[in-house]
Amino acid sequence: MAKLQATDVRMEYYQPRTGSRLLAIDNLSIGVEEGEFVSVLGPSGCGKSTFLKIVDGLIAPTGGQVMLDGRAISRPGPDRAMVFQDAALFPWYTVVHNIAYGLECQGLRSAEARTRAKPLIELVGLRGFEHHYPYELSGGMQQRVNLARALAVDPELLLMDEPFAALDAQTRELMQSELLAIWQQAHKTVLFITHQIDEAVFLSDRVIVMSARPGRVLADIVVQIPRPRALAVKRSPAFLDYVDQVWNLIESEVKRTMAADQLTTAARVSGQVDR
Amino acid sequence: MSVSGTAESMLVDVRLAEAPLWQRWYLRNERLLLGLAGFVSVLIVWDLAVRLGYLRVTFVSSPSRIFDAARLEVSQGRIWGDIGVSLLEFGLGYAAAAVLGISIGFVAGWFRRANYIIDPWLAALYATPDVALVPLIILWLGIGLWSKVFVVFLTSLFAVAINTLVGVQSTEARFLEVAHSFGASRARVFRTVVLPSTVPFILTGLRLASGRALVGVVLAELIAANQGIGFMISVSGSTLNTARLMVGVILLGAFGVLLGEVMRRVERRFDAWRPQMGDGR
Repeated sequence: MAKLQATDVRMEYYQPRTGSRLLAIDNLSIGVEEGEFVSVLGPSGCGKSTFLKIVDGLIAPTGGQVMLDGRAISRPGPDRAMVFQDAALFPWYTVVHNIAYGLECQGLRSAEARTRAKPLIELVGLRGFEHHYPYELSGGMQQRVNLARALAVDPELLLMDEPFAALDAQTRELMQSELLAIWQQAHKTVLFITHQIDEAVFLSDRVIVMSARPGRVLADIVVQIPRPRALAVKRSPAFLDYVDQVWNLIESEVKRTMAADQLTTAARVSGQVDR
Repeated sequence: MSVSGTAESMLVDVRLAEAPLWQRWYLRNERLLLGLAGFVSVLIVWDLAVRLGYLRVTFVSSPSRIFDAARLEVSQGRIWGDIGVSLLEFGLGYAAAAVLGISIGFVAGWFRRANYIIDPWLAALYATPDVALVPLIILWLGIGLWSKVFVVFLTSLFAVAINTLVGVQSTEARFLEVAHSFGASRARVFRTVVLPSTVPFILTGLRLASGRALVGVVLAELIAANQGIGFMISVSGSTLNTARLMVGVILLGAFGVLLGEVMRRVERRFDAWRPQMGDGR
């Protein structure tokens, strides 16, 4: 059985303003094997972040269930840790305190938590910045702290929610390659959310392509590019073939979302309520 | 990827470094110098206008007369009693308002149902002009110390409570999500997320409240008192002792400025984790 098994996950919202229902995720089933790096790729608004929060236990799905190691997930637990979008570091804590946060939540004394956080500061290459506040760090460095904070609790499953989306292109590439290096050392199972095709292909063993809302699985593509992967891989024909393959799958979806957005906007402009 | 160094707004034209010494000294202190110059000019014009008979002493006094009045007050020693009483009223009322205001704000911000019950009271009492309540409070507590303490308490309570409440409620959802994701207990969420993100709001509330508290002291003393700076001003006014009245006003103004400065420093002390003003990020 898979390490993580999501079965028929469904997420439906009710919009009190319009009285309508919104189906964000429609019967999504995804399995992730032990030690596997799996990306979930989809156009914005396809419910991929919502899915990740369901796996983390922050949101309860309205249908289906998610099992980790055969146990149903109902709330956040120490077996999972989330690397948040836009870092979400506590601005009032220093780097080391932020990284130690998850350990403190598990009941460790502050001093011990910080001692345990030390090696992670090394791992993400932030030695010398232990006592800096988040505002003193660049975006890339903030994301390293974000990653270290999640790794500190030594989770079975690492959940990553578009962690590099806000970074500039060069920093993003470097962070991707560093993430792979860290992943290979740490032997974690990773579920990675992104909307960037090349990022998904470069990082993953498998890329799960989602449809536009309501999110369903469009395709499940195994990426057979040997590891370790250097950034140069991104210019290899095999890599570009994968990117093309995914893009062909997703192109019509993206167009569909854009058209739908334009329709909604047009409806709003003309004073009609979208139902 | 570098630590933010000097923000661009902190940098100045390199040509300035090559300017003559007096010019650099002037530019460094320009703000203070011009402020001071403006202040002194007003005093001079005021004094001259009175001396030359353009303004009546009875109405505006004059800087030199105010200075003499201040010297007289100090040598007679009566003013210390007034200052002491006003400070005591201010201190007691403000301290009580701070403690209770912060508590009310946290309770009403953290517990949804408590908010539904407390919020209408806060809104209504905050909107009520404090002056309207002073006669009632004097009726309850007399014209001594405690009626003033209570007025100060009431005028400053709501600024603290409402700011704390808003602070708790504007805790960023993404930070709460992080805490929940790591399995933080409710108490820990409060201590590690809600409390630190509310501190700046509390400090703003305390600063606003300090100004209102000062108004409260004077207001209550003007209406009914037998000691205090407000009382002194009131008596001086009705006896046409304008210079002495001005001494009282200046004392209050100076205390207000001092208070504001102290509060700003306290706010800055708690802000180690935030980028300083003028820092680009």
